[in-house]
Amino acid sequence: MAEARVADLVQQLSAGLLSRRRFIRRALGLGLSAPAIAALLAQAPSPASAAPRAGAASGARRFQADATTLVIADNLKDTWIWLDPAHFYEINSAAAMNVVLETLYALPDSTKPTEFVPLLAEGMPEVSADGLQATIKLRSGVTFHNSGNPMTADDVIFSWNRLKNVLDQGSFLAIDYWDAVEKVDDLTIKIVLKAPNVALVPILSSYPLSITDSAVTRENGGLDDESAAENDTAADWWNEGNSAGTGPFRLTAWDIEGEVVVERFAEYWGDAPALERIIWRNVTDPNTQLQLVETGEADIAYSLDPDAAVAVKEAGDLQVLTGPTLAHEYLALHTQEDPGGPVATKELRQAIGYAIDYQGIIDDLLKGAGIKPATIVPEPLLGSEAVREFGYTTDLARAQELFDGTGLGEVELTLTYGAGGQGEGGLALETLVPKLQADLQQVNGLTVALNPMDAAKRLEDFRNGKLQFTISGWSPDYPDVHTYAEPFGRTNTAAAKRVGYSNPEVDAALDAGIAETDPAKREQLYVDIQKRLIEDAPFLVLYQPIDQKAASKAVQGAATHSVAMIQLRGVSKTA
Amino acid sequence: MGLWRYILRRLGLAVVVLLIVSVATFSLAQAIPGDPLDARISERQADNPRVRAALERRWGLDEPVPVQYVVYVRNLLRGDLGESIDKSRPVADELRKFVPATVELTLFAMLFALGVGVPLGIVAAIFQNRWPDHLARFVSLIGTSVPVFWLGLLALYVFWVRLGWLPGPGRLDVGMTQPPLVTGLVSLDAILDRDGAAFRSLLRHVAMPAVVLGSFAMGIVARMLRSSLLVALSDDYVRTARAKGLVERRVVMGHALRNALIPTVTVLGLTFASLLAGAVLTETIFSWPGVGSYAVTRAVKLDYPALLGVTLFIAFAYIVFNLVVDIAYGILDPRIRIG
Repeated sequence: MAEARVADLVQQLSAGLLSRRRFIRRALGLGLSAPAIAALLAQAPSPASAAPRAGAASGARRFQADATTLVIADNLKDTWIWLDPAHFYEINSAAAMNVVLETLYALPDSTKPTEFVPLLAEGMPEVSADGLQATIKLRSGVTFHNSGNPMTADDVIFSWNRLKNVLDQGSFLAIDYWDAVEKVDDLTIKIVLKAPNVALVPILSSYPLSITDSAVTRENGGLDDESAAENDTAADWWNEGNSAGTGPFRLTAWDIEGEVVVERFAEYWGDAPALERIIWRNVTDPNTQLQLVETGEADIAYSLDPDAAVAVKEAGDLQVLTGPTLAHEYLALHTQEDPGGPVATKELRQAIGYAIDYQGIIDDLLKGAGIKPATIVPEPLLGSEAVREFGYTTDLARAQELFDGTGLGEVELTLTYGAGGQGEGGLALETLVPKLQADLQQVNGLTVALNPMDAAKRLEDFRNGKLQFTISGWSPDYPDVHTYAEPFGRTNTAAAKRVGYSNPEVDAALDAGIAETDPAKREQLYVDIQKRLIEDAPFLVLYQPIDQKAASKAVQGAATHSVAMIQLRGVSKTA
Repeated sequence: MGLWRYILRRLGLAVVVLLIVSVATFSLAQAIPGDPLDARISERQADNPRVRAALERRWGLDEPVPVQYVVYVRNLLRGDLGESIDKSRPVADELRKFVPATVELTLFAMLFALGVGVPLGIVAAIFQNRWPDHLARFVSLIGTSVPVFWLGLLALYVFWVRLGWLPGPGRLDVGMTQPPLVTGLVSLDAILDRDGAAFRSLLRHVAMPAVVLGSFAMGIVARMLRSSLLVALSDDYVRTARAKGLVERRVVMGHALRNALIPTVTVLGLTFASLLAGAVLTETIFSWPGVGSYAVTRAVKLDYPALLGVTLFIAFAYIVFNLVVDIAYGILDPRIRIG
């Protein structure tokens, strides 16, 4: 790949990012002869004519005028950790995962959550009659970054076994659903499932299940056996800015306090991207991110708070990328006497559901950047729209009636929240929680005490099922109804366990739902589950945020994405 | 020899102090409620005992606390500060990146504080109670009383957004390659690499945060120097110097200033250390990759290894600057002897 690096150097020289002296030194380092370097220097346009000199204020602003480079301002320092899929489980950096690495299947447009397409797979899985074996043909002619190795079934099996054995955040994806992945031939794999699973394609689209170059990963400390949890060191190699994926861009620089750079991969199997490079620049403060876009130094600001979004729309100089998220902010009410106390009474939980001013939260606090799903399944996932009419709406009279019906008399609840924290959609909890307190106290006889707690401590207590009444957020694992319905509905799983919730009918419907291949029957099962969760009210969803990002008008084809966060595939820029 | 022995003894004491600091920080970290793994682990994996056990083993959190401490100190002696829980990277590597950035910013801030504060203090003392004094006092009062976050945001708005004279946040222009890492101070590394473009870019980027961060120290220097210079100017030896017929410039610069500098230097040394530790707001506003903002983000995540690393660094900085101040006394005033 020496040619590619020489080409990079020439490009940097032309853009004024590299002095002639440093260009010569680096070219020598790549083994180029002196006459070759002289020829390259003569060919390269002089920095002064190609672009304003770096360092001048106008030089800093050149990128918005450069149609081949996209610059995104994001808080890398606090939200990015790595691009190694065996460890990756972050949100913001998913945008980079999506262009550097590839999974077998992908969801190009998250507003159409059933329209998955094969990416590294040749077609949809062929599932055996008993639903326990899925055979997948892999795409041929796919090569890995830098090494040029062709992708085969061995790479898929290595990547997934490595994810499983590294035992980090995303490992459940390779542990929970199948017993084995077998090689049928060089370009075919067979997955032996633990149970029939109609969500297999959405699961296989999760970034931790991305395919990496097994030979290169092994050479650089990667392991796929049980010793991986202790001894795998390939993440360090990725964090040096190396790349072993198959995506349209390859990682070339990784400095989350400075910049992360990905460059176009010349041998990409699919359509060549319009951009030559994407630069993520670390800018911690959201207002500064926006200012960078306004001054022309960046093209997209990752974080845009609701107030700023209103101002940007009014000013009209920039575009606001808008789309639904699959996240939500919810109230968790403990269903057992200890520690629930009065909230263990279902009617009280329902009364709380009717007392909250949902529209006020969305209109006034989120400035319209949110919707209210009926329950824990965000829209537009399966069955969420069918249960919309059954969800809680503000009805104080009904709340009072339910409250009085409990016969509990005067009730005081303690609402615990993470002090200084932010809810989904960037809403400060210190803003949201007093609003909830005021709403609930409109029910005669109900008082709510606020209990701010250190965020990590609150999470620990919540996970240990010690909180009576708290507020929490949830973001997607993969875009399918089951990944919400199960943790919130099934006895003794993640969220249900934290509020002591158990309903055998929900458990049975979940077992049926994940195995049901008929779409209409499957939808009915999840509609039933959601109706039960609304009736039992262990969780009350306050809102599902709408994502907003500011972008310059030069950016074409970018969209928010509920998993990738920004869909950068297919993005171009006008000069 | 006396001076060297003194320095060695002080550095020997520093090891003891650092050990005490490490015990104190380690115990305090254990006393904080909350599990650092909860801040790191995702909702879906939180209840998976195998994943939790693997992560606990990775950071040695499955050992009893005293064993954890012994392991920590043993690694410390080998220069290994452990691995950050939140970022899964060696703390020593992280500090090697963040500390030079903060040192660079602080050095430029001190350069501003001295370059502006000293002349202001001198002018104010010479023209006591006349308009240059009033002006100098007003400027230094502004410096000490305007909050850094406000000044930082205002400076960004005026000089970057409105006027476009200076670049926005960050250490170098977008897409500019950093000079090869030698000292970690981009300005020095750029000089070593003879990379004029990177050096100019760094200067333009550091100007605003340095002035903002240095404004408080500037005010302190000017006020301290003014008052101690006023005291010195009324001393007998100054009257003698004037009686000898020395020109006023030599009286002030040669005689009075040297004595007046002693309290200023004390404050300066401690201010430098506190700037190193306290540049958080400036670093956040200007996206400057320094140790202050590093400490804050790690603290929120209960990232013990990272916090211990930062605490040790800051304790070490205080020790070094106190030592430098003590040595500077001897140079400024030969009557003060150390050893």
